[in-house]
Formats: sequence, structure tokens, C-alpha cells
Amino acid sequence: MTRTKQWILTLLTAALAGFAGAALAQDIVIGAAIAQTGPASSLGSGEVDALKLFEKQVNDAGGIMGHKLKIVLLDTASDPSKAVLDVRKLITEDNALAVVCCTTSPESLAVIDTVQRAGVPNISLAASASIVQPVSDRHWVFKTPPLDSVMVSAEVKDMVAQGVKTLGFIGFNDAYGQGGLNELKKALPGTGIDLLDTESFARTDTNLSSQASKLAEAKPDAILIWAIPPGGNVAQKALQDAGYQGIFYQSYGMTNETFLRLGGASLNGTRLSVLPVIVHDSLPSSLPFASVVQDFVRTYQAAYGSAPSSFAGHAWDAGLILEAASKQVLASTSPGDVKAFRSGLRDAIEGLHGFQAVDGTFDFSPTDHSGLGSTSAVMVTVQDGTYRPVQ
Amino acid sequence: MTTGTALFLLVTGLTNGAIYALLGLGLVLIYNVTRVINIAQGEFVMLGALTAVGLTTGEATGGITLAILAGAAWALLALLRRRRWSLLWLPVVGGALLWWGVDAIGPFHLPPVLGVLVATVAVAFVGAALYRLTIQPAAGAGEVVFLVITTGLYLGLQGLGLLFWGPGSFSFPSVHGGQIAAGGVRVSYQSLFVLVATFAVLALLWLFFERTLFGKALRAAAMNRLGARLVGISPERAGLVAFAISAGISALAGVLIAPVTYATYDMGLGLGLKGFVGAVIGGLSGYPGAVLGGLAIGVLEAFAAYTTSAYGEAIVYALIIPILLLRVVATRRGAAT
Amino acid sequence: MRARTVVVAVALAALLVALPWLLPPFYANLLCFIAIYGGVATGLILLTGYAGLVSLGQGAFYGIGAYGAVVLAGAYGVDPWLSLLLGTALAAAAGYLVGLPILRLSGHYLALATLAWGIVATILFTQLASITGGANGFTNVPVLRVFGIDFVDPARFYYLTLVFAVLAVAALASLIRSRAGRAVRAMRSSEAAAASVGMEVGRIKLQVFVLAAALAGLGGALFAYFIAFISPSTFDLGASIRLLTMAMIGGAHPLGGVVGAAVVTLLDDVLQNVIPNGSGQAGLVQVIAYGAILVGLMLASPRGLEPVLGRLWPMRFRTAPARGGRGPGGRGPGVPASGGRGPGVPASGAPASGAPASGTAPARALLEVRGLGRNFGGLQAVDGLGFDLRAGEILGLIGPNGAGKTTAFNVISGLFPPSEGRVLLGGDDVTGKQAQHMARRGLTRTFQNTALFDMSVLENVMAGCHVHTRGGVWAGVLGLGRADEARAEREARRALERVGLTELDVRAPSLPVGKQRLLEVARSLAMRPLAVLLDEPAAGLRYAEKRELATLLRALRDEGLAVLLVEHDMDLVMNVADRIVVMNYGQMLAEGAPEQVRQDPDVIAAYLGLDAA
Repeated sequence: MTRTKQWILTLLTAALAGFAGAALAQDIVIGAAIAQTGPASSLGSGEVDALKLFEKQVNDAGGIMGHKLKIVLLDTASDPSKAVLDVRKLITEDNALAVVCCTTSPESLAVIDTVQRAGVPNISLAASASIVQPVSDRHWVFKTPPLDSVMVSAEVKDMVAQGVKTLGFIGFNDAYGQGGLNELKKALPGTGIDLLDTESFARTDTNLSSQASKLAEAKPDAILIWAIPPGGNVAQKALQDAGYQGIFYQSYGMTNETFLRLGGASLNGTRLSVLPVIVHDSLPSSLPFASVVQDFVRTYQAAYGSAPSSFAGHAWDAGLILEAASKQVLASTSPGDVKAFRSGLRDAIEGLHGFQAVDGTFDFSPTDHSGLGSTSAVMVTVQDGTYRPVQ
Repeated sequence: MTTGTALFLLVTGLTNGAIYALLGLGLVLIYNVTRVINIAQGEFVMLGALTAVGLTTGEATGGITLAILAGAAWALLALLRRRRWSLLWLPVVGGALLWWGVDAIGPFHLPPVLGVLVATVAVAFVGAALYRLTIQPAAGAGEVVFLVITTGLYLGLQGLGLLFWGPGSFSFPSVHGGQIAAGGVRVSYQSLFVLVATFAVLALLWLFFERTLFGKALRAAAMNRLGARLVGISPERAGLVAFAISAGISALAGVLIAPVTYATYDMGLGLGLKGFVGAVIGGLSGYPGAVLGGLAIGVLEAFAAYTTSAYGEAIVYALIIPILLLRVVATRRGAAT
Repeated sequence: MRARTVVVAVALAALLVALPWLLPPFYANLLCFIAIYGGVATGLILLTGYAGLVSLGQGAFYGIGAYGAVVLAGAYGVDPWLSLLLGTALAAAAGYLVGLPILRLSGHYLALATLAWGIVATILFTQLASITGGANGFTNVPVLRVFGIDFVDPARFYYLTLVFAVLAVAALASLIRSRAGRAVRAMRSSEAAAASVGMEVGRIKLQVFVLAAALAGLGGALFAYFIAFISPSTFDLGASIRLLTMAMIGGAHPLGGVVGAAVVTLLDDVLQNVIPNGSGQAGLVQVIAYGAILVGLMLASPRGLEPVLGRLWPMRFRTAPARGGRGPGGRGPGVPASGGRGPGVPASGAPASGAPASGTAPARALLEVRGLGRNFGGLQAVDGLGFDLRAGEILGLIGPNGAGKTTAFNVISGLFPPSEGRVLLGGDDVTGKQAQHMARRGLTRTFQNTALFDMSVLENVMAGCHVHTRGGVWAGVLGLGRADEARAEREARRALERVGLTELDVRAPSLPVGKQRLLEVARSLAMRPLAVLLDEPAAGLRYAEKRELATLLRALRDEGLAVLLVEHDMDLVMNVADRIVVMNYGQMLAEGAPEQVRQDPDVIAAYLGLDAA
């Protein structure tokens, strides 16, 4: 490419970008930076599907109080630096009123500085508690998935109920796995459960026999696996092959369609805490958010032909929250007044109480930007290819 | 660590190592004939595994689509250059019509063996086509150029993998489920099969290179391009065959490993890397060396992961440097010049 | 500097400074990325493009600089601008420690070793969570304050990164045109030849490696402050490959790094804008397109953009105008030059050049070979070889094929050590010393397949001046040592005139064989050697060229140079040599004046078979 061509290309790009930024002042523009490629793509694909569906559903019903919803979707490639770039683009070029970012914890942590400085509310779809804590430094940041501590506590509580005294752990050596281990270590003191051995593996590791045999040798009552498919499947299979006979616990990151499909009958008896959307058809109707979950599942199923993953649920909730907050802000501010609208949105989100959504009932407050409690973790066992809630 | 555990780790390591060995064989083959370090070697493994899965479960026939597209591009290129390969368009178009016609009728559900065969052939074809489209035009460029080209191939192929099969994982039926207990160590039938298959491939390669005329011609082309040309051996054809065989071997490796570790669109790079390591440690010139190197890396990995899973991989890679240094020193000691 | 260059430079500078204001605000971010990656890629171009050392592990140094800087600033309260320097120093130190062992490797082994190093570094970043924050990353990055100015806004940060990029480019441009740069390029063409003119190949490689690591480290530190967050995934194998891609696209040119970085970064952004987001597959198609474009670029131009850049800003060594000492007629002695020191004058006072004319042997031999032997496994290639070489004489070393001449030659010139015996140069024991050492003590050689450097004729000969000039990599970067360079150039011109070569700016490998030989001799002369070993200089020469060579050799001998000649061409040897040593089966068969040797029955038997004797 000659230099001249390069300059033309740059100018063309700039023009294109400028053009894209000139959305109609009436539209409510939301930016979304999701991992469509890269290691987190299996999580991101569900999120993208949910966001697109939400946008369509809202606009088909006439928009948000007459204003068209426009979700600008960018791919972060699971890379924190790219996530920062994407969010900055969404803020400055597309004038997004709020952003939904990102799929993984490192990415979400990376964009905190940007959204804080720009004064743009961000709803993260990732697990780590440090995304919204300490709240004093997270004025503009919220998240929809329950804190990983909530999910871990539910499992630990179940372990105590099952009479588990010794525990083994194996997880990813990335943010997700390390996060799970950290929360586990925080949750164990006082339960009488002894953590005998911890192992880790890379997401792309193809053979876990070494780690599995070491864990199996320690013969703990239960083993907790903290990964996403297919890693979690491989780990469990390796442990079974190594002769481990105890109780298997998996994590909520496993709940996309791959887990059950790959594991088959060998998964019977596995216990894990899942998000409500996973057991949508066994939720007691007394649960206040049960109808929201079922509506979501029905809509998603009709559009895509398969049940949604929990990640899709997180994204849907982001949509629901932003929609509700927008309705509040529109009463006094126009989407064209970007700065005021962003600020208004933030305040509105923080003020949501008893907000029923797919992941549970959100109770945001100035001290809690996660908003979900223990009702968002449902303990289940795997039986014959389905999840059965534990009584 | 008990003896039982040590034995178990050894077997595990050898099984994994066999896959790395297969990849290493493919790498060395390509390097010997074309002087290209193929960063995208692992992607052939991915394509082989996922195509076989798609053919047997009818879920996604991406690999065949890719083969047809690659063939079409190749045919187009040949047409533009008016070479003999322009006859390629006939089977490509015919195959495409047949494919989409049958696909319209219903999803494919080939028996596993046939699925493996078709997948291997398809991926081998893709390998040859990619050579023709991306490597051959750059003949004579420095080795670093090829490094970047194959990097581009790796990115493109992985992207296509994601496009065709999505980010999910897929399993493939084992040759025979279950394990046998030998000497207190549990070994799965699949692991045994992998080992046997690796050595079978090695033996076949040896026969090919030592006993057949074409195999010898390939070796000649590797040693001296100009000389080979002078005796009528075409380096281009040699490159085509090398890429085809190498891709085929890798596809086979993918099918062998899929039952154990599940196939995903991004399984390629890690495997390719380990295969590369094994091949270089083995000297990057000899086939037995590549196999031994691959096996060694597999065993090293198994023991390192057992000792400390957090740093296991780091230990394996860190050990490469002293091994390489030792190799160089040893070579220098016996140096003639 | 010419006026046009000044105008262009000023215009360019103005454009660069104004850039953030000419583009939409988001693009300041891209500009920062381009500048940072550009600086880092420039270091990689020095390493891979110029020195030929492929590194797949630059991401590691990039990360060490980043983590070093922000951890020191965030966790230990070090001043941010100071942390920039410390981060860079850490990366440089790591470069030194890693480079020491792995630079003994070359080619694919080196690439693999750097790859391994990169992977180990990424794992360490992830596992040493207490220091680095682990996989979740390090968030406690303070604001970068330099000289009381806060650098947060991308447009402002851009100027900081612009300085970095400009410094990197300037450093490389200065280095490549300096003595050290010449050494780097020479080393790339032929390590053996570089050693033979006294270049410390190992040390040069290490210095280049450290410099590239330092640039990567500084870039990483700036990057960390720019994003205000770092995590291990940013510095993994993917990052190293990306950097290498940028370097390859830019090509071997000081601007290559920045240009390559621009192409790659903008490509990402363009693809994102051009491919419609509505399809939902946008990310995937971008990745595929990216891969395809990469392949296409490399196929279209394997040397990257270097041809274009080379025309925009030629990296040719600027030849200084000829200074005094170039009279129309007579030539002064080419060896030694006026005034300057000679290479390692032997301590034991062997006769310096300028010794008496041929025929009268001086008191002590310059080169003494005693009982030299070399075996390879079971083969005794050289056995008990001994002779003297004096200043002002030409010694011919001949023998049938397989006699061991080349092995003996290689041992004496320091290519590899002998198995037994001794070599003395000017009375000092130099047995087993390497070629660089020999060169510094005044012994040099030519090569059978002329090992010329891929540079101009003049630069090749200037490389010969390496031993008696000074200026390492750091001096080259800073642009010091111009006086030495000017002197070296003058000397090179003289040497070239001596051998009769006139086209100074032609690329050396494009010369016909005869002229290449003369060039090699000129290069040797530029070293101001005491002794020159010529390895089959007549091979491939025409009759007239051989006569010229013979005349030149005789003239050099008359000036006091010691010449050892390994040759097959009997005519040349018999004509030119004062004494001849004949080898057969590794041993010395005969020694003496040409006529003597010619009639020696053993010699005849060795060459023509027993019957002929």
C-alpha cells in the first residue's frame, strides 16, 4: 500500500466514522463491546444474540417511549486493550449514552478508567466482584451477573449440607478460574471444610491427566471444577478416568449447551449453582422474577430455536435495566443532551429497587452496584441431560 | 510420586506426545521440501477434527465448503494462468453441485470411518490449495516472510473455523471406549490407538521416502531445488504433495485427539506450537527426530503439570532453551567446519 | 542539510503535531497506539530486519516494561516519570540476561528460544499474582505526570508517544549509518567475514538485543499509562506475532516500524468500519479478512514497504567529499595510513610493515606455526605442520586435493581451534584464538567464496577499518564518532585506489568475480594488517585478472606485508611466491623456493602419481 493510498484510506475511514457518529438525535444510542472472537467468544456469542433480539423487540414495540433504540456492537476480540479502544470509540464517535462492556473480567476492569473519566454509565457482563468494588471508585460501573462470591457461597453451603469435609479444586489459570479460587478461599473459613489441593490448567490444554491424577490421589470428599466448556468437561472426564469416586461440583460458567451435550450420562450427580434462567421451567412461580425469566426464554427460543445461555441472560438484563432507566430519564431530559442523559441514566440505574430481571431481583444502591442476592443462585444437580433443582 | 503414578504420567505423556509427534512430522515434511515454517499447522488439525464431526453428526459441513472454496480459488488462478490444473474446475463445480444438492435433501450422517476418510482427503486438498495460492507465489522469499504468511493463514483459518462451527465444542466417538489395565496402570483404548497410529504413519512415511520414486524426488527437491529441477523434478509439485500429505496427517491427528479433548475452533495454535517445539528439538530435519521430540515434549509436559500445574507449562518451555543450547554445543563439538 | 530536506522535515513535523486536531477525537487513541507500537516495532526491525535475529518474544519485554513501570508506581509509590525509566531499565536488564544464553543460537533455534521465553514470561505475569494482579490485571495505575503536566487525554498523550516514536526512528537511522550499524549489517551478511575483520559478533548481537528490549520496555510502560490498565493477555504470543508482522510489513528501514504499526492498526479499524455490524458476524469476518490481507501484503511485497520507504528516505551512507592526499600521480604506501595507530602491534617487537624488501629475511618471523594438528573424529586432517611466515614475503601453501590446506588455513586464521600444536603471531601465542582476536593483532584472511557484505563497495572496505576505529552501538545511536568515520572513509578510499577499484557506490555482490576478489583484498588492507591469508584468490579469475592480482601482491610484499597464499593455480603460485610449502595427507611434504619444490620428486609423485616421478 503506498503512502498516498494509506492517507486516502485514513481520510475515508475518518469520514465513515464521522458519518456513523451522526445518529439521529432522537435515537437512544447504547454502545456494546462484546467478545465475539477470541477465547471468550463462546460467552460473547450468546450476549450478542440477546442484545440484537432485545433491540428488535423494543423497536418493534415502538421504541422506548417513541425513541428508537440503537445498539452499536463492537468486537473486543477478548482483548482488554481493544475493549478500551472500543469503549472510547463508542463514547466519542457514536456518542453512546451508556455502554455495555464487557464479556470478561479483565476487559471490564480495563475500561473502568475510561468510563469514569468520560462520565458514561457502564454495565458489565462479567463475573468478578472487583468490577464494582470498591464502590467509591466505581461510580459509573454496574454489572448484571451475580457476584462470583454469591455463586461460590451457594456451592459451599451445599457442600456443608452434603457433609463434605475435604475438598479439591481445579480451575482455569485465567481471571475466571483465579476469581473462583479466591472467592472459595474467602468462603471456606468456619465451614469445617479443608482445601487439600488446588490445580490449574490453561484454557487450551488438551490433556489434564497429570492434574487429575494428583487431585484424585488426595481423595477429597468433593472436587470443585471452575472452568467453562469444554475445559470443565475435560477436567471432569480426566478425574473420572483417574478413578475419582467422590462428588463433583462445577461452576455456573459451564451452563451453555456444550456442557451437557459433551458430558452425557457421565455427568449424572454433578452439582452446581446456576443462574435462574438455566432452570426456567422449574422455577417456583412464587419467585418474583419467574415470569420475566420465562418470557425471555420463550422469546429467545422463538427467535433462535434453542434455549439461551446464562450469558445471554446477563445481556438481556443489561437491556432491561437500560430501558427502565431510560424511561425515567426521558421524563426530564432529551437524548440529544448527551452529558445530562448519561448522568441521569447513571442515577436512575443506581436507584432501581426490586427490579425484576432474568438474573434475579436487582436492588442497586450507592453502596451496591451489583444488586443481586442469594436468590440468584439456584443449586442444581445434573440428571439425564437436564438440571434438577436441589430441594 | 509412586511408581504407579510415574507410569501413568509416562503413558499420558506418550499419548499426548504422539499427537505432537504427528504434528511435528507434518511440520518437518513441509519444512524439508519448501523451507516454510508453517505456523498454521495446528489449524489443519482443527479442520480435520471439526470436518469429521460435521460429517458424522450432520451439524456443520464447513470443512467441505472450505475445500470447495479453496478448490475454486485454485481453479480460478489456474484458469487465469492457463495451466493444466484448469481442468480442476470440473470436479470442483461438480462436487459443489453434488454437495449442495445432497445437503438440500437432508443432513449428512456418514459412518465414522468414512467421515474420517473424507475429512482427511478434504483437508489434504485444502492444504495443497493453500500452498498453491499463498506459498508458491512467494517462492524464494526469506523464511521470515513465510512466517508472516503462515501467520496470516492461521488467523484466517481460525476465523473460518469460528465462522463455520461457532465457538462451541464437539466430541467425536472413540475407536473403542473404555480402558485396559496393564501393570497397574489404566490406559484407554483410544490412547493405545493414537500411539499405534502414530507409528503406523511414521512407518508409512519412511516407506514413502525411502522406497518410492516420488518420495525420493521429494527429498531431492528439499536438498537442492536447482539440482532437482535440472533432473526434471518440479519443486512446485513437490511442495503441493508435501502440503497435502502434511495437512492430511494433521487432520488425522485431529480426529484421533477429538474423542479425548473435544474439538474447538481454537484448538489449533497450542497443538501446533508443541509440535513445532518437538520438531525443532528433534532437529527439524529428520522424521524420527520429530517423533522423538514430540514424545519427549509430551512426557515432559505430563510430569511438569503433575509437579506444579500452575507453572508446569512454564517449566516445559523454559527447559527448551538449555536443550537447544546443548544441541548446538553437541553439534559444534563434532563440527567439520 | 539540503534546503529541500529541511522544508520536508518541517512540513512533516507540523503535520504530525497537528494530526490530533485534524481528525475526529477518537483517532487520537489510534495515533497513540501507532506511535507506541511503532517505537517498539522499530526496535524489532533493528533486531530482525537489520541484524537478522528473528524474535518471537518481544511481547515479553514489552510486558516487563509495562509491569515494571506501573507496579513500581502503583504499588510502591515511585514517581510515574521515573517509573518509565525504571521499567525500561528492567526490560533492558531482562534483555541482557535472556540474550546472553540464547544468542548463541541462530535461525530457527533462536526463533524457538525467543518464543519459549515469551511464553514463560506470560505465564509468570499470570501466576505472580501478588505482584502483577494475576489474570485479572493491574488496575492501580496512577496518572502519568511529566514535568508537572498530567498526561491523560489521548490527544495530549499522543505528543508523549510521538516523542518516543521519533526518538526510536532517529536512533535507528543514526545507528544504521554508523560504524556499529555497519557492523550489524556486516554480521548479517557473513558472520565469518565479520569476524575476520575483527568484529565482535557475539557482543554486537547482545547489544542489539538489549536495545530492542529497551525500546519494547519503554513502549510497554507508555502503553500501560495510556490504557491505565494492564493484564497478561496483552503481552502474549499474539502480541509478539503482531509486532513481528508490523516489522515485516514496514520492512528493513528506520521508518518501517512506524509505518508497519500504522498499517496494522488502521487495518483493524478500517475493517471494523467497513464490514457492517448488522451481520452479527462482524468480528469473525474481520479476523478472516485480517488474515487474508496479511497474506496478500506479504505476497505482494516480501520486503514489505522498504522499497517505497527507501526511496523516500534513502539510507545510503553519505560519502564525504574527498579530502587531501589524493595527488594525481604517485601513490603513497597504502599500508600503513598516515598517522593513525596500527592494529595490535605485537609486543615482542616483530618488524612493523615497511620492513626491507623481499629477499632478505628479518630477524624474527611474523607468523610461526609449530606442530599444528587437527583431527575430526578419526580423520587426521592436519598433522605436524610447521613453517614460518616473515614480513615482506609471499608464502605459497599448495598440495593435492584433500591435502589439508583449507583446514590448516582455517585453523591458522582462527575459524576453529587446532587439536595440537601452536600458532604464534609476533612472538605471542595465539593458538586457538578466534578470528576477531587474530584480526585485532594484525592477521586477516579472504574467503574462497568471496564473503562480501551486502553493502556498497566503499562500505565494505570501511568495514575493514573496524579494528582501528571506535564507536559501539550506543555511540552509533547518539551519532558520535563522526571524526573516526571520516578518517575510516579516507582510508577506505585509499585502499580501493590501491587495488584499482573505482566504482565505490555499487553494491558489492553485483561486481564480477575478479573485482570482488580485489575488493576483499582492499578490505583486508584497510585493516592495516601485518599478515594477510588469501584463500584461493585466483579461483574464477581470467588470465588478465590473475596478472593484475600477482602484480598487486608483489607490490604489497615489497611494502612489507606478509602474505600466505593457498592456491591451486600453479602458474600464479610459482610466479609470485618467494617460498612454497607443499602438503600431502595433512603433513608437510616439502618446503623451499619454487624451483626447488617444482623439481622435488616427492612433490611430483604426490601430484601426478608415482609413475611420473
